[in-house]
Amino acid sequence: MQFDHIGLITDEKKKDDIFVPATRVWITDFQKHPYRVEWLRYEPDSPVTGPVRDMPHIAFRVDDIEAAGEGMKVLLEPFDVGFAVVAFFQTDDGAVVELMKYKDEEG
Amino acid sequence: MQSRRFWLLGLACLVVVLSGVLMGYGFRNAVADQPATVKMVFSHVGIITTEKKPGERYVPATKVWVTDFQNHPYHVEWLRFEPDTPVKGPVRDMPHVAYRVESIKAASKGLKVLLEPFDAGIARVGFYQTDDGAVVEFMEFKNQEK
Repeated sequence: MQFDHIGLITDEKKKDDIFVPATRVWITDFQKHPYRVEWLRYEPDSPVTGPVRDMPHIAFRVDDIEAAGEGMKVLLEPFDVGFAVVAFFQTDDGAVVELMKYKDEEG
Repeated sequence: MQSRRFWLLGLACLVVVLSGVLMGYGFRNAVADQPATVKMVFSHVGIITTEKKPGERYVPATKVWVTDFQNHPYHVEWLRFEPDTPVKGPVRDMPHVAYRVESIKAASKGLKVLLEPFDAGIARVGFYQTDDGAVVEFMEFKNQEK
């Protein structure tokens, strides 16, 4: 498990954010951030609800999402984000964890 | 004829050596002008909460309950501030990402200071803010093996 980024919820417009129509959220590219921060600005009518919408998340790269996520509550089942397959989980103590399986391991 | 050939060869060598020296000089200067590359290792994320979390401990100086990120499987540190905490601003209100560095001074160059470096027991730490508003903690571990 290797640290990848943190996702922070904001209501401010951030530089170079791009719109994701499916989830109605503006996101920034954490790969370009010196401290691996991904800003997420949800539109009021975003279909995303719950901890993923309301809380920051911490993301790790893993070899096997299913194995790494075992025992945690599933918030979002694995889905394809282009360069990786990702899924969101919640720990017993309430932290939101994103697990990422990169398609290109060099990613 | 022979001496002229030697002279030309000598001149060519001089040009090669001189241009090499000049290029080397320029390259060194270009590198020196860039900010120093700082080695950073991810340590934890700090998340503000209003819920009591298992294993939290009270820090009287800052009136905050904190959990041990070293015992968390995903390196999460929960921070629950008392209403009368003296901590204010982004450190109080926003999550932070923390990195281990060799030198807080070098790593924080150019960032806005939120909390000057202080002794946090396991490490010396300082809090900073990026231009885009993210809160970053830098940690100098006393024992680098930690």
